[in-house]
Amino acid sequence: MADNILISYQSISKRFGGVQALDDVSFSIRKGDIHGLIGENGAGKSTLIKITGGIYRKDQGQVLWEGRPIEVNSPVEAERQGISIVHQEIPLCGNLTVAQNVFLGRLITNRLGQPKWDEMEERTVELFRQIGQDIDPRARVGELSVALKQLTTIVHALNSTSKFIIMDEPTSALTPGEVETLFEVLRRLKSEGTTIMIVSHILSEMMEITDRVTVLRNGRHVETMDTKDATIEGLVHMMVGDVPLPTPKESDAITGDVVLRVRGLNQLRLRLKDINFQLYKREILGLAGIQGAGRTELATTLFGVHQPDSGTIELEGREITIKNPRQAIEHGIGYLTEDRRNLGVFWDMSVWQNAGAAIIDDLTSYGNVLDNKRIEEMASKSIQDLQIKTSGMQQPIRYLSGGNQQKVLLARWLNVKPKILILDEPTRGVDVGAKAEIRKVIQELVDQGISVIVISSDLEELLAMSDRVLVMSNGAIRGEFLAKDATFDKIMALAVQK
Amino acid sequence: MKQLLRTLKTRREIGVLAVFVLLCLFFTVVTNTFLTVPNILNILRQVSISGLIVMFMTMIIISTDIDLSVGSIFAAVGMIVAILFQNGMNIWLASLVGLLAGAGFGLINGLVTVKGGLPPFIVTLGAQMVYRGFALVISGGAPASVRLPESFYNVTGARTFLNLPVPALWFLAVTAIAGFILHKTSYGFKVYATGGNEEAARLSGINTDRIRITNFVLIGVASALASIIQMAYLRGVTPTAGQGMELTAIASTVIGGTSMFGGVGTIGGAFIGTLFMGVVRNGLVLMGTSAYLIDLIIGIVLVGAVFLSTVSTREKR
Repeated sequence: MADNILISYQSISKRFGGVQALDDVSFSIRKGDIHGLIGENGAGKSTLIKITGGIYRKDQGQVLWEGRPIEVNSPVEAERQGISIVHQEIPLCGNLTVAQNVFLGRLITNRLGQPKWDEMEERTVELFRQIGQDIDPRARVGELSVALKQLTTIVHALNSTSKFIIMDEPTSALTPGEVETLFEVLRRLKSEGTTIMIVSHILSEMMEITDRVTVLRNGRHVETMDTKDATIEGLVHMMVGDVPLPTPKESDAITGDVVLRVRGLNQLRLRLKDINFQLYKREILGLAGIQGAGRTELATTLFGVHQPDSGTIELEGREITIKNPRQAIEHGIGYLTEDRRNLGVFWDMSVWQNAGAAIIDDLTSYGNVLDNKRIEEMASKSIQDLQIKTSGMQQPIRYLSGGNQQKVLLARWLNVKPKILILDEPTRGVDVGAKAEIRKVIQELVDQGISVIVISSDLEELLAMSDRVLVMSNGAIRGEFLAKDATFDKIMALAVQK
Repeated sequence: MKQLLRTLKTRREIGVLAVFVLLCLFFTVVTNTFLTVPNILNILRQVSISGLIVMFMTMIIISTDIDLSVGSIFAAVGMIVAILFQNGMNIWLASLVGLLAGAGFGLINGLVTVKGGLPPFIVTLGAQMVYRGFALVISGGAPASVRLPESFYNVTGARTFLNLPVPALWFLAVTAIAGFILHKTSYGFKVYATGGNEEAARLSGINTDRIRITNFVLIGVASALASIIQMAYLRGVTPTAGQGMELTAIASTVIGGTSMFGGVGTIGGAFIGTLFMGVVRNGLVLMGTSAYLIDLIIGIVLVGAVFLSTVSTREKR
């Protein structure tokens, strides 16, 4: 029995400040398995991965590697041990080329120590071909799409002699086709004897790809079981308790007032072409499309990050110009970014500072003096309304789990009291429970009279939330559906149009 | 209490404070003049001129910029005020012109850096030479002495006021003001936000350009104020004054726990950092250390102090 175990966690505990991230977690992963790790935000998945990879140290417990206890104190030691991690947030050097990133830390050199770029570039092309992608190995990574960046990190992990590859949310930025390619790669690795642990919130994918699955909840181990014995409903229940699964929303034709009307909007550099649509009061409007369809570009243009070349934007019947995000906020438009790590969070700041950043001028009295009473009111309301798991408003945001960080950012935009809220991938990298909570909050906002535009790559979720869906591809709007009339097939057919 | 200990442990300037206290103890033991009221007042007076600038150097570094031209602004403003005064302008009015000139120099640095999208290191390195050249040109390279009216001298350069040197009082007052701005106002919040994540700050509706430019203006004004106080204290100015001042200010800022990557730092830390630099120099002199050795030792102490304070508070992972 013990012979076929690659890695075994025994009573692992880890504490951050007042939060018990992992509490006496024990389970084992068999050699050659694809092992799923699931759990809500703050369940401890990322912490466990980081302990395995030598980024954090465990407080208590033991990790057995092929039956022997190991101490991994740095990512380099992990790599030496044969452990490779594909992180959720993508640690690439944007200024380097694809090949340079793929061979980062293990350059092929000649006898004088000079890097042999030609050989590495050829190998890079070869590795990408194995996962069914054509790539220019000399392209700068910073200029690639999110999906290609993600694939680069995966190729980076493939390009090692790892016995154990951990993937944290590898599919969150991928289109269905790319996900299928990735799964083929995983199956091939498995057949070659590599062991894989995969973390994902998309349970249907976990059912498809994994052999066994482990559920964590609030830092504790709930269950490890064969995937063939599991059901999605059963897993969800183990993760969160009683949360209903989404069903498409039953909205009738929209009849309210038009809040936002966009006419003939073009933005050449962002490839936005002749955008026309309207947003109604109390409506949730979904933007569907594949990566690169121009949804984020449209959202950021409406938010004043970019200037349209032509076209008009009307807010409540009055034409407005939005020169920068500040003016957008003044007009009552909020924008939750898809890139939480780089464009959202202030990493050195606390929970309240992150939640209050967009209304800091309103948290003052006597001119510009910060008013602690107002700050406390704002913070406790935010923490309560969004059920943010934190030890307090002064806690540094970096100690929160990804989902709770996302809730803090959502709170930042709710505090603006917007008329229109644009949410770009609001539930990316967020687990089932928090997804449901965030959806509930959004519905409450709409009930209060706010209009919401949602961008999501999770089509099922988009249909469950939206009243109406616009499909974009190549920078243009290709079609419009009421959510109840839309189907995956109809939407995808438009989304892949050129 | 536990909460307090935890904050103490996570704040970098506390590590510096510990090293600082040890250092003071050391000098108290090995010299019998260090821990005396006159000497402590002397240290305060000595650090007060560069200390005025340190506070705003801290602010500008938190917002991920830097200003290498402070020493030249210092010299240029001194010459402007002295020349205006020698030509018959009222000293109060001349000082006001000097402060405005400091603001103007800072504004130029800020506009070129921010609106031109250039690295502040390069812009202010160039400005350092330009403003120094300006000071040399308007003075013809010659120092100027000034006979200031008593009323002006008493509130700027006087050696005693209630037994305290007036420059030291200015230093303490400006420290308090800077601390208030950085830690108690929305402006200070925006400085941290801009330095912590400029893109996120802009998406949160913060006018990051304006914050950065204002920081350049503030440090320009602080340099001008320092220059006027120094002029009053020394009763004269030279166009070569303030050379190397930017390095002292940056060193004090960094010892005080401010991160060169931006987003992190406090005025309390900057205050300790300023005293730290002053105490090391003063203590070494009292010990009779050779003047040739002092800079060598200070360099080592600087890196050592930053190392100790970072190690002692480095996050346990």
